[in-house]
Formats: sequence, structure tokens, C-alpha cells
Amino acid sequence: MDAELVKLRPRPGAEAIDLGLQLARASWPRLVVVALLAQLPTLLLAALAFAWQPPLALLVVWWLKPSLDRPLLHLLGRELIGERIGLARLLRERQQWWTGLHLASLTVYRLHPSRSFVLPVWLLEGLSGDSRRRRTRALGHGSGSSGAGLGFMSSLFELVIMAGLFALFGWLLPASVWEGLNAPGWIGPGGLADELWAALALAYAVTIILVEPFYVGAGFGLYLNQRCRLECWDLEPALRRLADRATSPSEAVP
Amino acid sequence: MVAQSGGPTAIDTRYPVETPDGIELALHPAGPVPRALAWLIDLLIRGGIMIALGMVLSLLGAAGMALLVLAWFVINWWYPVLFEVLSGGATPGKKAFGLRVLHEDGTPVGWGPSVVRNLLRQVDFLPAAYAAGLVSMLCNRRFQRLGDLAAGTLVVYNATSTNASGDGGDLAPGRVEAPPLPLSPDEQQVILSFAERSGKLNPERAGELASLLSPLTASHGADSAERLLAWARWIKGTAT
Repeated sequence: MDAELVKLRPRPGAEAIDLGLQLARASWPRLVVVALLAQLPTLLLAALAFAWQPPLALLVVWWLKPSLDRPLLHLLGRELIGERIGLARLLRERQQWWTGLHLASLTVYRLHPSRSFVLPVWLLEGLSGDSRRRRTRALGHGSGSSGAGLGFMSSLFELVIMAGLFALFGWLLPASVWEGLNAPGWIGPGGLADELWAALALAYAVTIILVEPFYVGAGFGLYLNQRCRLECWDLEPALRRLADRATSPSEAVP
Repeated sequence: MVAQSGGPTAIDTRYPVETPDGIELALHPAGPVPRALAWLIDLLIRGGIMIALGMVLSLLGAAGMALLVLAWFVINWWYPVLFEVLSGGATPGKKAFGLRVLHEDGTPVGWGPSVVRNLLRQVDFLPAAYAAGLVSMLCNRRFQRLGDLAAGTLVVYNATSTNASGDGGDLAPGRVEAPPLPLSPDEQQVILSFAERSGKLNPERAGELASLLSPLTASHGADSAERLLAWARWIKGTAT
């Protein structure tokens, strides 16, 4: 671990989330490109679902969110150790993030309240079965409801961004286009029009690209903080440095 | 009591300032999650007040409605300002999450900046549901929304709440021993941090950490941890 990149120390839960947000902010351009590219297959599936049943498109976009988290977290994990990896390397290392409870994260764990907090345990620690379950539980110890609170709040922020996108779109679209769209007719007695479902799915997909890097980052921040609080992980590099200095031939005080 | 690591550009949630009277302070700016929660609580409180007032004033007919509009205006615009300036920088919602508003230099927020940051909520609200404010906070190292940027204010965690889950308490008395080689202040700090926090670790992990220093302690596991504690007592003894 490169101690130069992030100042680790035990923090209260809310501040650990803030640390994660700052981590995501520092890597923001790269994260958002990965999120954008990773969202493309989802959009394709959503388009197929739309052709069959329009409301399903929105469901598909929501359902596949955990798949998007994986490359984002892998990238963040690399950045934490001071490696800035490109897309080619991210793809080369896909076994490290594509596997590892991927199917479970889309099914039994899809509604896990603190998804982005447990994902680092699954992806970065390489445990399986009982030892992984024990590890997840142990690491959650004393974190209170931070992970679940983060999940709830990021859903709220998704709504905020989505409302913002819709409002912005409403401002920027010329009036003539609006009249052609017949938007007031979209919400009728027979439910929502197909156009509205498409708009919702597309706006949600864009929202996810914007919000998910921060959600993943914040969960990673919580994970790092729990390792500092429960394992004094933050002391490890300094202890190693001290041992190195003591064993090196010239014992000069730095 | 924190191990010093990382360069000045390292990502951190601590923001050092120097107050006008020359005191060094470390502020901890608060991000969107606790602030949105605090806002929701304030919204509930304001909503509750308005509903209660509405029930009382509806008995007064048209005059009551006029009073209600007036009350809405006062509560909507002055609720945050009055609490921020008169109640230690915090509305009840912020207080619930251990937050408060300060000037960027760490001094308590005054009338002018408080009015500015709360008037500009209108801008932060754009285009809908505080989207601009959220984006601004996430673009900003100190989580300032547009109103904060304009007013030169910060929302920070109270110092007491940031220390709550920090390092563990005091060193238990015991053997005192000088480290086998002179330690730099940073290294002394690491040993002290280890000693203060190892009590909360499980013993295996404490031993594992202490074994990293086996070349110095000439022992392993729990024995190594014991020696580090002895050094920590020595460091503490010489420091005071």
C-alpha cells in the first residue's frame, strides 16, 4: 500500500464516506470513462428489453448496477496503490473483477443494504465460502449503519441527479421539439407512454454513470476505514519503514 | 495521536487552517451524506411547525392565512440563518449529525455569510432538487456547495464527534524500556499510536503488527507487542 496517496487513520463513519468521495473525485475522469463504457452493454440489454416490454428497460438498468461497480472498484484499488491503469490493462485483469460472486451479487445479494462496502471484501481479499462470510461480518463490526445509510443516501442522490437531468433537458430543449413530443400525453389513464419509459431508462443510465463512481468510492472509503479501525492497517507502512531502517546498514535517523 | 504519513498532496478529509488569531486548526469538512440527512431533518421540523401553525391560524380565517404566508416566509428564510448565527453554527438537523457552519478560516459564521449561503440555496437547488449543490460539493475538496463558495463558509464536523472513534485511551502502567535505537518524532508517534490502539485489537492482529518490528524487538507476536508497549511508556515518559 502506498501511504503517500491517502492519509489513512481511524475516522468516524461519515468521515470515512467523505474520504471515499475524495478518492473517487481524485480519479473521477478515469472512473467516469470506465462507467460509461461498462454501461454500454447494459444499455444494449435495456434496448432489447424495451423492444419486448418498455418498463423492463428501467428494471434492467437498475438490476445490472452491481456489474458496473466491479471495474470501478478495481480501478480505485489500483489507484490506491499508486498504479494508474489504462483500459487495456483493466480488460487484461478482468478475471480479478469479473468473477468473485458476480452472479450472487446480481441475485441473492442484489438488495444487500451495503453493497459497495462488502464488494472490496469480495474482490480484493480473495476469500471464499465460510471464511469470506466470517470476514465480511467481522469487518462490518462497529461500522454501525454507515454502509446501509450510504446505500439509502446514494439512492436519494440518484433521484436528485435524475430530477436535475430532466429539468435541465426541459430547459435546453427548444419549444418546437417539446410540442412535437407531446409530453403531456405521456402520462395517461393507460399508464406511462413508451417514450417516457425510454426517457426514464436513459436518464437513469446516465445518472448511474455519474453517481456510481462516488458510491463505489464511498463504500471503498468505509472498507479502508474499517481496516484501520479494527486492524490498525494505517500503522503497517510506518512500522515496515521503521523495520527497514533498523535493518539497513546505515541507521541514520531520517 | 495519529501516525504521520503521506505527503502534503495526499487525499485527506482534514483541512488545516490558521485562524485570524494565529491558531492552527484542523477542520473536517462534511460531505453530502450527513448534510443531506441534516437537511431532511430540518425539512421535517419546518414542515411540522408549518402544519401546527396552519392548524392554529386556520381558525382565524383570512387574516390567519395572511399570517401563515408571513410565517412561511420567516421560517423558510430565517430558520437556517437564525440557528446558524445564534446557535453555534448549527440548525437542529445539523446538530443531530454533529455538523456546524464556520467561515473558511475556522471562525464562527456571521450574519452576512449566513444570509448569503442560505439565500443562494435557490441557486444550489437548480435545476431541481439541489442537483447543482450536490455536484458542486463533489467537485470541491472541502465539499462546499455554491452558497458556501460565495459566502466563504464551510460545514464541518464538530471536533468532539471526530475524536469519538479515534485512538484508544491511555497506556496501562507496566515495564518501561528505551527503544534500542533513536527514533524520529514520526516513528515515536507510530509506536505511541500502536500502544494506544492495540488494546482494542484482537491479540493475534496486535502480535502480527508488532512482529513487523521483529528486527528491533528481537521477539515475535505477543512478546513483540509487549516490548512496543514498554517503548511507548518510555517515549511518553520522556515527552512529558
